[in-house]
Amino acid sequence: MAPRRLRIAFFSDFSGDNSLSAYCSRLLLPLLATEHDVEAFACSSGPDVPAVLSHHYLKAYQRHRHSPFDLFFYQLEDGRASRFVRSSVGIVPGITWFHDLFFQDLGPEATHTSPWENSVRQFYAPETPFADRSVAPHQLWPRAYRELSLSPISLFSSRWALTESKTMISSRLESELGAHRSEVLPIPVAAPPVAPLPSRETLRVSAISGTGLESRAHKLLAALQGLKGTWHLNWVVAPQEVAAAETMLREFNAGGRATLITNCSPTSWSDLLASSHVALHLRSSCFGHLAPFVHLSLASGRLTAVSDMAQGEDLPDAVVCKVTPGISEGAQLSAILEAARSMDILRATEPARAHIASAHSPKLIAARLSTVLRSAAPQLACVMQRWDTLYSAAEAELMREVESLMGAEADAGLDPFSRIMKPAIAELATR
Amino acid sequence: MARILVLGVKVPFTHGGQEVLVASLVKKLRERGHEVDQVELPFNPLPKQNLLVQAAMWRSLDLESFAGQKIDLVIATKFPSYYARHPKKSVWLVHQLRSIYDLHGTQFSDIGDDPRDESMRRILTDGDNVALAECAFRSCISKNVADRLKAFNGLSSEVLYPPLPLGDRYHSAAAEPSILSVGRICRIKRLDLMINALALTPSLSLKVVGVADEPGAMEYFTNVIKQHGLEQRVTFLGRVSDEDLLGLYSKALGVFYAPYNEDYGYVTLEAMASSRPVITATDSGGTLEFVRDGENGFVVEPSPTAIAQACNQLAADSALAARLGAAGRKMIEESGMLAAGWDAVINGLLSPLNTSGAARAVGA
Repeated sequence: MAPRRLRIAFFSDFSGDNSLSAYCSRLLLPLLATEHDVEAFACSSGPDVPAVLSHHYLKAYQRHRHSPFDLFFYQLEDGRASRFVRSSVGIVPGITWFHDLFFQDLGPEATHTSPWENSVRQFYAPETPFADRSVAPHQLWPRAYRELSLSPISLFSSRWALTESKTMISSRLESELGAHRSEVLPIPVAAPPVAPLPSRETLRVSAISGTGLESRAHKLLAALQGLKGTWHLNWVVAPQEVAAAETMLREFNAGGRATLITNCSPTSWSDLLASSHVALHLRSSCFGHLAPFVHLSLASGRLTAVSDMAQGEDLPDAVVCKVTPGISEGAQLSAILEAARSMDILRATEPARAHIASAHSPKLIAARLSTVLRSAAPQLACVMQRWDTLYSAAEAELMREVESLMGAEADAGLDPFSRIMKPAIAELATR
Repeated sequence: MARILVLGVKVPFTHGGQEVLVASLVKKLRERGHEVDQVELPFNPLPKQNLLVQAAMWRSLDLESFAGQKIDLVIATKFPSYYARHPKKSVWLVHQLRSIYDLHGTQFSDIGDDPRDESMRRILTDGDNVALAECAFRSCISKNVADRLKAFNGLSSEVLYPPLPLGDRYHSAAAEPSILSVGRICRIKRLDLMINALALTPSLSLKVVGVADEPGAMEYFTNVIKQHGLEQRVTFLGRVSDEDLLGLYSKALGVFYAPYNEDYGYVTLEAMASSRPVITATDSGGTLEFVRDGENGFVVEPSPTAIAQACNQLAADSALAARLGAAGRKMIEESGMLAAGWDAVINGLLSPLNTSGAARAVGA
């Protein structure tokens, strides 16, 4: 007998070429939709989503009421386009796939002053009173404390993030059916074809890097400056950092040998790799992620180097060159660049291509995600049932607040709340 | 001739586009011989639970007759006036409660993940679905507002652009080296973008028409001005007379109007009617239905640098400023937004009077 198709509410950013969530969704949704009934929710009306129905995220409760979902799935990363996912995880608990745990900002006020800790307490102890509205809690650090705590099941796109998450949570939603689940779900990668290497007369290096210290561009430029023979650098940089990048190129006397590229998508990065020997992803920071660009580099048969820190640590040593930030960093980079001049790059990168094909195959990741969803559904059903109880209590509390505003108790003889307002509100609420 | 009530929502001590729209509509209906009155209830969005009270207050109003006299039609304008009951209800939607729709999840909304907030959002969204669906005629003041209504509530509507409040009186004169900003002074209007841009436009000054209607807004803008040492180049004029406003428009080098996702924006049209180029932003919503980058103004990223660049172009090239301004004026003349546009608006809003039931609702 075929397994039951789950009804899944799938929250993700679908908007940007540079969004990891959009990249993963485009690969996974068509595959997931063959096994389940998926509806996509985004921060726009009817976004262009492959293979599934799509809606604005604010309509999710209506869709759920019309035909209940078995589970809510959230794909969460840093950035303005995914802010609605940060808001939504606090509204209906579900499975969250974290690409980032550290955010650039606290998010909109309504999120960073959220009474989520109180909601978690109420989830376990319904007698807990609702948060005092006059005291707005403030999240002090732009980290995913709230999002982790409100996610009964958490997935992480890197092992590093999974490890990091364990230090960030004190209390979270769990069901009677089992302890909280956290596991790694690697990102899917659409491997580009392996292009022949360009001529070795000029060593062609492509790098994705900012201009700040954590991006290590100063180390790369110093290493290139000391390199024998001709070279060319394709430097992918954020539009707002172009001026700073130009200044750095002048400082290192590299202006004529570098091209600055902005707004690079996975597709344009793949195109760039086709004319490169070496791909560098040296950013060493807990903010942001390297995916899917580093994976595309590995899949394209180019010699690839990362910083041996944060997400870079995750990659197997056998498939990538790891550069330790610090005193010897320049020397390590120089050695990698020198080696690229003479080594058989396509042969040396075979293990990397095999790794991407086996560990990041979209089919495999979709199948694994489907398994996680199926096994999590009963547990999430329990969580959602209890959460519904909390929402019933919230609606009753809201009515009490409205009654209090109307001063019904103070003027019991007239009682405008019961006679006029309550029927009007009830009419609105029951549609 | 019909007996008509125009339903407005009044935030005491504030004055903006909605007040202008309601007053203009009442005047134009009376000019056409109808017996018209205006019904307003004060609107207080704080504390936020009060939003539910406000919606229920309007819902509890039965406006079918007063003192034995039948009301033929009511025309609702913005949240929550359209909750009022009447068998022949038209709506000319200025906007819904934006904090539960397009502003949700932004810095401009205080509706968060508190279960009580989310319960309220659901009640009000469901309420909108009912109260707006039952309108015999549905229209919006801009395509932007109509698109929101379709996206969030699944309801179609006609777009009826409000004609300009001062009709044919807009004019132009020789430009002074000054940018004009008109509108309520609050965060969502983003006057700070222009003030910060002024620090990068040394040859220009800024005149600001409007009053602050948000706690702390004036202090915030004053601080930004002090921070850049712009005290001598920024003038707050407060509320001004119609005559003064026409004069200010006529002499401005350009008009800055770049709110976040504006519903419509009279200011854009008034500036164009005065042959002034408009500087707006890529995320300014309704203004983008009129401003064309490089044709009748500038549509730039919402950043001080981009706005300063646009202002500096106007300051450096008076022929460009004149060309953009003339193109704006031409667009207004051709669009019928001076005086002639009222016929289409009134014909639409009064259309339920020509039907026996609630028949001319635009399909949901």
